[in-house]
Amino acid sequence: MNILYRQLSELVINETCFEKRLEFYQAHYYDNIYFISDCGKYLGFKSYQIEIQGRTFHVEPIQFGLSTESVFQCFINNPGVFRIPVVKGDELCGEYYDASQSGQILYKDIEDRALELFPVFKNDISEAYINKRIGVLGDNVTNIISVLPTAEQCTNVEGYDLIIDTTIIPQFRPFLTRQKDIKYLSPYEMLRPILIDKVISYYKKENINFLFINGIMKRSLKDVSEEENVRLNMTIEKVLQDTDYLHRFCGNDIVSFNKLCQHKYDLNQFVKVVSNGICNVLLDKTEDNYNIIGGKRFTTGVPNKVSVKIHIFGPCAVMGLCVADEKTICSILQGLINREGYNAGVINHGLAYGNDQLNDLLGIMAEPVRKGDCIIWFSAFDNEDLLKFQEREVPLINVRECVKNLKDWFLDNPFHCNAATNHNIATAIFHQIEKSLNSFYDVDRTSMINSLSLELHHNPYAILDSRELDVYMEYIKQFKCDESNKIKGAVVLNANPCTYGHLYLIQEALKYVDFLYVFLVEDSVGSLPYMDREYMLKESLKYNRRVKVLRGGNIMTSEKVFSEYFNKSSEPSRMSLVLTHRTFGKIVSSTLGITYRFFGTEPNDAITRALNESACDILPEYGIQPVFIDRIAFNGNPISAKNVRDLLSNNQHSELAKLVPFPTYKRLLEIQHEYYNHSDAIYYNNIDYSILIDSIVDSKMISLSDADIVINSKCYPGMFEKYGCEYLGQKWILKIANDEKQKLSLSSEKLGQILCHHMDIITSEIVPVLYQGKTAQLSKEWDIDDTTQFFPLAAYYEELLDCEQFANGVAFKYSIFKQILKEKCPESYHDVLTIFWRVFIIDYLMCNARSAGNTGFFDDGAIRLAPNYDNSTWLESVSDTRFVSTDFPRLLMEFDLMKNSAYYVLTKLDDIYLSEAMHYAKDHLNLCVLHENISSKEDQFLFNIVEYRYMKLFE
Amino acid sequence: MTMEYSAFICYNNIRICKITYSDNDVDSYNYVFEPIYNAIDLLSDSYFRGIPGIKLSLRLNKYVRRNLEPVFIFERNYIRGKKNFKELQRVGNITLLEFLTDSNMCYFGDRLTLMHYE
Repeated sequence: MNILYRQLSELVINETCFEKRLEFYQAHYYDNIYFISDCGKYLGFKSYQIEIQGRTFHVEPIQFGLSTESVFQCFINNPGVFRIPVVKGDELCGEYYDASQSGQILYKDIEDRALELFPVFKNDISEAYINKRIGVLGDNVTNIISVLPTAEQCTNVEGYDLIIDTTIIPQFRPFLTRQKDIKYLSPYEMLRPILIDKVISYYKKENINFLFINGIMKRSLKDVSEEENVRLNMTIEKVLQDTDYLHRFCGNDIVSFNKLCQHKYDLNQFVKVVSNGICNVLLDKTEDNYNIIGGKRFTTGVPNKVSVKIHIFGPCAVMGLCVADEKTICSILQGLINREGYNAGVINHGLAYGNDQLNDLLGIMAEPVRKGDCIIWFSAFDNEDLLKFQEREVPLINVRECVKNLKDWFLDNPFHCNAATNHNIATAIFHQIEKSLNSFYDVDRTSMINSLSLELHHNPYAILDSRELDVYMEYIKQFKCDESNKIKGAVVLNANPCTYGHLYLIQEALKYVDFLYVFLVEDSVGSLPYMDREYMLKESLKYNRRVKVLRGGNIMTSEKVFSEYFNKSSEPSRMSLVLTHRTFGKIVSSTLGITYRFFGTEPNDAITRALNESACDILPEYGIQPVFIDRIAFNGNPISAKNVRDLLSNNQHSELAKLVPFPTYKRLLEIQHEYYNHSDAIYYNNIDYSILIDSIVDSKMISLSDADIVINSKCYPGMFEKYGCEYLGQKWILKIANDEKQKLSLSSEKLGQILCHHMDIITSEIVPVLYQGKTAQLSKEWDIDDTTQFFPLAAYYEELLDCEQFANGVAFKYSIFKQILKEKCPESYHDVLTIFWRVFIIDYLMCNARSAGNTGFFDDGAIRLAPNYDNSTWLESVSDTRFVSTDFPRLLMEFDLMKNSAYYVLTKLDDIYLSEAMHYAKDHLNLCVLHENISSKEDQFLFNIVEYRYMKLFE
Repeated sequence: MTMEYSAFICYNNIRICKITYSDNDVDSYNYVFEPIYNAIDLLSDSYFRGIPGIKLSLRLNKYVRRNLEPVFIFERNYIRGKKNFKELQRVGNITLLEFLTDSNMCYFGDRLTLMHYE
């Protein structure tokens, strides 16, 4: 289950034309069509299952804003439901959907593939349909006309012997009003008899045993009990919830029972398929008793060397969807073969997504075989079609015979059968082929495709030409950035979860490009749900307008394209690496115009390292420059998502908080039910101010009993209760926080000091301490001699009052400030203004408004800034939300602009010193380092504000 | 009730300026600085740079600050919450100037001290 959210604009709404809906269902098997009133009120939905399969669904819409866990629970409570509408009040606003259940109807896939194959079987088709007047419905007619020159595109079906309908699949035809006296065929209906005939003829000619097993279609089940009938109308997920029935279904087959229970919500999604260029094969997967190796379900007991190979093709019954490895038809058959001492191996070519006869036929044609080998095809045909096999004397096994004495042998349809059924079928096969098992012909194996020189080729990069990729490209096109962004880059992240390492990578990447696309890996194999990962990443980047987070789909580092990434025990194949980069190259070069791809260097994980290394070879082919960015370290260790996951599972929340941005932290704690909101304030359950103590112990905490407090000897300006004290022979100022605001102020001074250091502004050293149980801090006293006088800037303004022109008062203006500087310190004028603006930016980030007003000068001949610049925020507490307004706080100094907020000044004022400071800040402020110093809820609150305001200012 | 209080501003215990606070009510008050130039001139060779907010080079007899807290006072006021300085020019039943003069806290920034006016 991989639940994602999409909004109203991505849904199909109010489609009233039935034929249009059918066309939609063909391409969107699982999707709903929603109906809303003129005022947006949710009315209901229709879907393929409802309109065509006649199922009834009681899916109540859910309210927007539920937790991920609650959303998953809704899907779990509704097995077989893959789309759930989401409402705000009674208005439809979007849909939660299971991304692992997407794609078009299998029949439509088959038709599209059949159409592609027309040129390959050109001679056979034109011979079969010679001298017929053929009309073609639909736009995609090129392949048909190239094969059948007499065919022509038509809209009116009158006057033709045959209509090739490329618009609607045969299964939908009965629902439409079609002219009865005209024969309609779909591309696959035209191709099927030709291919079957060709295959049977070829194998007969080559003396290769060919056996057909006719399964039972759902609609042709006979003597169905009431209980069976109920199950036949249920989804497999729903049937799997009935543990009592699973017991009966599995009987003594405990291994399969456990497997079914383990996958009771995702059995259908557990195995995926991928095209090899000719046909679909399974995606490799390793799990106890359920293994897919080399694209095939594992058959137990196959000897290393065999004389005869028995290939079984077919749907999920062959693959063994509902049984463990040892209970598939192939494994049971292999057991029988081994028991009787024959040297033969059974190969399972079964797929797991439905009865795809075309795919089976292509697989059969592609398999290298030799005389003596055996091809077994398990499918299901109506009696009329079966005659063709009988006419050609193809041996036939009827599944109906195999299950006649069985009870409780299938789940929701006769292809989802149990080990007992498989046993009977395997036994029937064994009896049928036993005579030929002794044969041995020492000749090379060759495939029918090679032998007949058919234009079909294996292509491991088939996904590059797939509809899936086209659909994904359509998706990303919507998010093409503004043309003003000249240089575009991309990074692919799993972000499981989003850490400061990821944000650092993005931050560094933005130094190279104007705009960055962040592709988030969509497959959530063994990781946090996509919705959570997306939330954490998007929230952490939401203020950055130069970044767009996009779904990775089934394409970007997906299980299909790069399965090794999700199965770290395996070695990465060159093919996968090339495919991954080519897929990326094809998407970006053609769609988004990306010229840079960024990678974090990888010291530990071999798979990711191999991916990075191979990027240098492949991406330049597409005009993409790979850039590798060293991972940011914390306490000497590179930040990794794995470390974060380990810390989370060990409940080391305080350590965790140092490695991840706040949205990640919040969501991870939510997942663990240890986070709560309290009237806009930010609190952590397990992390309170005690963290400060820990961090102080780690650094420089002094015991106040060790300090020689010298109180009342000196007075220090400011809001705080302050004392002079001596410790280790040095003079310090002790500041004590008596309320929430002062706690926050101390925190802002601590973080502000770090930002000052980034901006190359010297400040006094600050040490957080606890004083008599209160939050406090020591800041080193100014290192000046006892004779130097310090005058704050305000003193010089006050002096102006005694000049005639300012006799009635003097405005606290930037222009006057500069005049004073020019007069008082012409030599250091440039330096002071440079620092003034750097401080100003930090003030803005910290919600302080005291720049210059709080800036002091030593009147010792050369004027300079005071080293204990006060970084106190004007916010009152951790529940103060005024920071979201960039008008807050109002500045004390005036700049002759429309507005007098720091943000407005920083973005509007034309000043060379400001401009230089902005560039400097962009290059030097490092929020990751700031985050490393978070050790209290006040720190975290202020960090979030700095982060928010930083994004606002620079992005 | 009006209040008035005077004190000396000292540098190295040398009286360099008389400072007088007077008010009618809390919204209307004056600080008047009266420099003692004879004493100040004697300090010309020392590290003395002046009194913050007072441009001594103008050689005015009085420097009057109406309804604003001089930097000299503002900076050495260590009472918490001093931002509401208009309301804080009195401390209890005495003036802020008297309170600061009486205090054994010494503001170290401008190296100046307050002494009772006798």
